[in-house]
Amino acid sequence: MSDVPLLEIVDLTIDVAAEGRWRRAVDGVSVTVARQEIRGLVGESGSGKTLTALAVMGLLSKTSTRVVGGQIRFNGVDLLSQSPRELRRFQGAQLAMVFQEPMSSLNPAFTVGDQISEVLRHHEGMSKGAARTRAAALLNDVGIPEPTRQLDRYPHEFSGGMRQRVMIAIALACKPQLLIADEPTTALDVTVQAQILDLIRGLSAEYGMAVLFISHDLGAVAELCSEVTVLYAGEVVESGTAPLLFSTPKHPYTGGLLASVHSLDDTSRLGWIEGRPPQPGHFPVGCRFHPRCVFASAKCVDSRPELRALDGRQVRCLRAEEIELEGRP
Amino acid sequence: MNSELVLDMEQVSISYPVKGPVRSKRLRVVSDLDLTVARHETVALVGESGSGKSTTARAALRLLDSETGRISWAGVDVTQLSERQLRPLRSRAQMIFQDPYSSLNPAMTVFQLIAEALGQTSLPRTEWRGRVQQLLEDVGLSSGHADRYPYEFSGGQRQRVAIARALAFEPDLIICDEAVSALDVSTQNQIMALLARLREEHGIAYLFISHDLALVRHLAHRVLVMYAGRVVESGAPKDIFTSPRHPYTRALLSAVPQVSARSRQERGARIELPGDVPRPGSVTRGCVFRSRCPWAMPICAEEMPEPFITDEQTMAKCYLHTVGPKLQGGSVSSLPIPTVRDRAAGESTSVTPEPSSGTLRR
Repeated sequence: MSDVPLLEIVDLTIDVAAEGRWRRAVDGVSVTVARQEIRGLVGESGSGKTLTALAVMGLLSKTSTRVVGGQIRFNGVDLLSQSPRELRRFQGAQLAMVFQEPMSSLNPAFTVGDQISEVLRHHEGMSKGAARTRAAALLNDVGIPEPTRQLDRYPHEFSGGMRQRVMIAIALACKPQLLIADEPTTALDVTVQAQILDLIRGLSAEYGMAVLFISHDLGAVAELCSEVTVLYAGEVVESGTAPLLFSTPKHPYTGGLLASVHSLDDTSRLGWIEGRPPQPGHFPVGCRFHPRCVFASAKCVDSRPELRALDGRQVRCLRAEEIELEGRP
Repeated sequence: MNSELVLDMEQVSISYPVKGPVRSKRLRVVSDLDLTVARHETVALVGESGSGKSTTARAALRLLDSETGRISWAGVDVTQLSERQLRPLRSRAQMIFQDPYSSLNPAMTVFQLIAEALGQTSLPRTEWRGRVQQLLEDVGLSSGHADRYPYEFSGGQRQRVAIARALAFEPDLIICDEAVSALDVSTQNQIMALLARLREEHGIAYLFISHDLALVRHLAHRVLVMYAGRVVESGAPKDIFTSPRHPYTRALLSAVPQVSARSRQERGARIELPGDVPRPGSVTRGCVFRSRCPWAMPICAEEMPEPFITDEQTMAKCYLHTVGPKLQGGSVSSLPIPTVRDRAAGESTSVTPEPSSGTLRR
């Protein structure tokens, strides 16, 4: 059992409804998250990060998306072939997710105590009293002072950072083996962001929990993650350990993202990638990145690169050996 | 009165009326603010939510009335002018917002949006078409975009439309309120490069409001750091970011996530700030930052420190320069961080009860 990876996404392919047709949005994405690993999933808006995460959680919209291929194995069990009823045993219990805007995920009409207890009573069958005691302990775990008093407060009475802590407490309620965090710090101030990243790191160690951290903020990913997968136009373009990818990127897209990062101590450069990411249904032929790539040659237009192993990571670029990219060591 | 200053705010305080159960009172959200923007200059206002950045921007444009102080646009005192008197001057200062989708009328084409602005200028109607084309090209769009609607554009393109519309007024000053925050970082840099080019070509000055310190580092000539309605430090970015003179600036810098492993190592320990920003009006005496400051001294509770001007012409309002370690304008980065308080303990037992962790104790 323990030699099976915690989460294996294999060739996941998802269509979205756009312009009156099904359009390919996630195209054969494979990502593995090992037990207790913290992996970052990065890419610009529209790269397929969030769709991938929602597919793992079984939260894709039935009307506007459809999974057309691939497997999502959690502890060896293919989640995609489970009935909704069977799935519910995983959701919120072994698998949990936090989102960017905690205010829209919390119910404004219920106290935070009620919302944490609900999870515990549903999944663990706890009594009202036991659930309340455990809820207070969870609030304490996520660094909320005077937890017992806070149980009877409503979401609007908390600041943005504190609300995100409440969301994390709800996600942790059943000690999940995997936490999916989708841009959890994007809306927060930088000092609060640093606290939440610390909290996720600490809880991951304490609970032995793996984390799939979705972000477009490479700084936050570098602070938190040991592994990184870069998505572009619905495909994995580079994947490996965070220090390796950030110091010596091999895919021009990773290189472009790194060049765009604002740095506090190196202001000499302010790079960017020309143009913008393609929308589902409009992915270019050949290498999908070639229209924006400064290194693109004729072969990049003609043939589609495969994901392959190079210098200790996976990379999808025909010219990876020939080009020199600057990283952020 | 200096006409080289497109914006001059002097000792401006702003408060909002709040209805209470017994009687109404006013909550002061910005206090004694001095801010100038010279021609061709980019001034950045940084700070976290609730620091008063956006309120300051709105007061600068006289969209809000200030309680005290004086505001001038290019040498003209506008503090007391009526809306009617202001109207002919309004085109001089424009504003672009974080989400252009909510500031651009969705029922109007790009041509109509920009023409509406041109209607406020003296340009004859016959020349509008040509001017719109020229403005679109200026911001990196093509004349073919003129007949499209805002929803047909991506976030970055919409921001370009908002910039073209602002340029139509031929302003001296554009206030950018988190104008690139919602965009992907690569798109942010494209827009920032555009703003820099427009500054050079049209001589526009910017007041750039952002919570992103690293971004500000790349484009500002001068930076003002705000905390709880007050400017606590100001100066050139290279001085502020390499040797902060105020503990809050140091705390902010220590929290900025860094991609580079080398930068992370050099950055040193993060300064934890217990609790939240004090609620508006809750600090009536002393330094606004003292409840969260690792180096707070008894004197900090007495009076707001006077501005200390360093040799590099940076300004910091902090007693550390004159009392205690007597840094005399030296960087606060040299100070050892006092024993880190346990976070939970720090949050529940604020050192000074008065400005306690706001939102949790309502």
